[in-house]
Amino acid sequence: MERRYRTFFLYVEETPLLDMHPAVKLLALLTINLVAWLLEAPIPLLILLALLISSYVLLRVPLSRIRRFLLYALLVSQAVVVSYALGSRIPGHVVYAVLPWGAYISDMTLLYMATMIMRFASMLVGSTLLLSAMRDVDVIYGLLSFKVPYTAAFAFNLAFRFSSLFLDDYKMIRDAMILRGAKLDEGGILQRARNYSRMGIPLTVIALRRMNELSYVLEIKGLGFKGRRTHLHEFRWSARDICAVLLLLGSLAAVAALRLATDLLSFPGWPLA
Amino acid sequence: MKAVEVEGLWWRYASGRGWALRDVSFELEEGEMLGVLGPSGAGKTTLCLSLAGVIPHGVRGVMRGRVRVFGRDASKATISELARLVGVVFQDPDTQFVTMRVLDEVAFPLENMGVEKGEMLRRCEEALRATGMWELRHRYPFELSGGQKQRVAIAAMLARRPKLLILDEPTSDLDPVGRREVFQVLARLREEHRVTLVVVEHRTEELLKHADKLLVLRGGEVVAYGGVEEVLADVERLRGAGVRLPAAAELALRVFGRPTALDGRLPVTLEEGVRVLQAARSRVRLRPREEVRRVEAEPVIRLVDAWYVYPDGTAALRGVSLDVYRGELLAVIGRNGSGKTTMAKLMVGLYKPTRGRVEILGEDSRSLKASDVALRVGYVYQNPDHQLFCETVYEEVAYALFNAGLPRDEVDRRVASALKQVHLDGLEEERPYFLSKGERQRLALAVVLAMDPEVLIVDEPTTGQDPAQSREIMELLRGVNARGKTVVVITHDMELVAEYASRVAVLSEGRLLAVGPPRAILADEELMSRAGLEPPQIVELSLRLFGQPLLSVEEVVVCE
Repeated sequence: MERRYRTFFLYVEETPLLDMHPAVKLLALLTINLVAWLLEAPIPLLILLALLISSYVLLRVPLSRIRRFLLYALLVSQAVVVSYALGSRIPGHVVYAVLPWGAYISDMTLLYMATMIMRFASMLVGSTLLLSAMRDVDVIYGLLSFKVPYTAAFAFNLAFRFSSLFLDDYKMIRDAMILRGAKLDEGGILQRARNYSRMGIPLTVIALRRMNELSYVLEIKGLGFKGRRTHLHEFRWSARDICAVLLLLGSLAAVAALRLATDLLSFPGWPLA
Repeated sequence: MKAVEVEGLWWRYASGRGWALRDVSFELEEGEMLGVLGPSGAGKTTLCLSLAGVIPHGVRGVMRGRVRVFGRDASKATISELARLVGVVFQDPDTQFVTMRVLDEVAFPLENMGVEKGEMLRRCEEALRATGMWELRHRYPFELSGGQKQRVAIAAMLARRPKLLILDEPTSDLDPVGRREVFQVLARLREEHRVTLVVVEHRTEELLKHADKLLVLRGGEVVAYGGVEEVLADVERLRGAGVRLPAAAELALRVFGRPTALDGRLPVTLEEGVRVLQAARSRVRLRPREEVRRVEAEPVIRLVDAWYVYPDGTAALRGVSLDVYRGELLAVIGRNGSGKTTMAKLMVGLYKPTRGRVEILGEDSRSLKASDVALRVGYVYQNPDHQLFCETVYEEVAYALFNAGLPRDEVDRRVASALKQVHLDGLEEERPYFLSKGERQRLALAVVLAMDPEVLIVDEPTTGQDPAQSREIMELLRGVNARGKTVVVITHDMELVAEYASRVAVLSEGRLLAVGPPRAILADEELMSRAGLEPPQIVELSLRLFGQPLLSVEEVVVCE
């Protein structure tokens, strides 16, 4: 039997985050990403990143969790570097190169690149931290707390579950192509795109077959039943949850206010401006 | 009250060309168990969906006739009404799981039905205890063995307290112990909860032991229907429908000729076989087939203390040392999750050992790229859909050959030859995804055969195939082997192992427990039990009857 990828919901049993109300976890996920998106200044972003990394230690989540997404982080960083190097015009104190189409690379371009990479890294590190404390029921009940209809919350959760099966299928099909002599990673970008485009057929067919079977299963398990739905899990709000919500909303409001009303969090921001 | 009444049922899918069910009629009393048999495409799953009300409520098509479940007309009752009466368990437990914890999975249908929490927990406990899964209620479903997963799927249905439980090939992905576990649970359900059961199966051994009635379908039509003894009395009709009888029945037929000679009662269990055949021992002579002996053949693949540890730390293979010799047909057996597929992927160079060494055709696999090994060691996936990605059957088979730079006429010759071997010639321009599952499986095999590899590794080639298709695939592999190719087959089907393998390797929890000729391996009760496997019925039966293991009924010759 083929080994399957596990899902995003391989949570860490030891972390105290696990006991938080699901709505708080979702709110924290949202807040961290929004704060990272609002921050444009490199030093505040660096502080946020450092805070998030130290939270791993404090909340007893192994830092090795980030490793799973390191490749994606590197790819995105690569894309950021290439796009800013080739297409930006950010004035600076020193200009290192001027490109024929008018774009140029200055010291501020490099700083901006680093800022964007840190923004992305903060989102990745923060999301991974919270997903390490998230069970599937947390996603469903968290969304229900935000008044999302049950079927929509459930479908969202299923998408997570099936994304892991999709990854599994992708890997098997890729292996099958390699075993038939395909050199998937050879040639130029177009050639590679052509090599990989073949995978679309089996991935689509398998996904459709699986969806078909799943629709029968959900029908039989009564997902579409009319009438009141009950819940196995009950989550109660504790004082700690309420404090966390206040802290999260307060931080978000403060960052938004500082970003809109001052230059402290805009590029290059405090203390470089 | 009748549990199920089906009268003149016809069904045609909106997307289908012909009728999937044609004039199907049968009845079932409350608490009875109906076994449904028949080849692939016979309409067995369609019948299950009709009984559950998914047809016609959730699937578009044309329906004639009537289906009544505990007095309710399935076409008129709503799905939610029927869902309170009927539960369905499908073949693949992984697709059925929609939550991430065993207890949540069992509670999910109850939450949808609006059952109060206290009652929900009571019912979950009852269902999980009935299936022996209560202790594992906090586990991830995907961490369980195949048999355990299917028991959770059954518990999820059982918690709803359905009066009718339908199981569509619930054991086809399972190892022998997993299969037995599922049938034990079903027997308990009937005994303690009086649940009416409809079970679709290809393997008859366990089914015939437990069923009260049999329904045999072929091409959507009823070929035979009635009590087990009544249906078994017409052996020719069953064989015509591709039904594989248990070894006890086959051996009794071989010795006594016809069921009438046995008062119309064919033995199906081991005990029945021993009882019926005991008296006839003097009438038979044993002619065990000659074991194929390796004559100093060279190893084509060598695993030397090979370990494979997945990135999450799971050691799937632990220090396996095994030589695969040129020209042999090696069967790799073991329970679900014992490391068989991981070992196969090491053998084709897809995975590199995390410790130890793997040599493929004399070269260290670490220095080889899997794409470079492809033409010399072929690998056929368990699920053909993972292996087919071209627009036409021709392109599919030709893909690897063009990648290898072969000239067009050579490619054409090889494609034609490979398709002929798997009986798919004439379908060159078909789209692979429009072929039936059996045809797709054969196409996946043709893809690798066309590459003419020295070693062919086939992962669970008979899973989900009906007996005729399984035999056809194994005959094909035997033919390939006879042409001097080395064949490695990973399988759960012990009868096929007994019949076709020249050597057997037994894996358990990532370790190689034993390797040797099938007769010695399958007859070693202690080894089989340690590996969590069961020998085929013919081996056990012959040991009890004759004191020596036989690998097929053909090894028994009746003296005139």
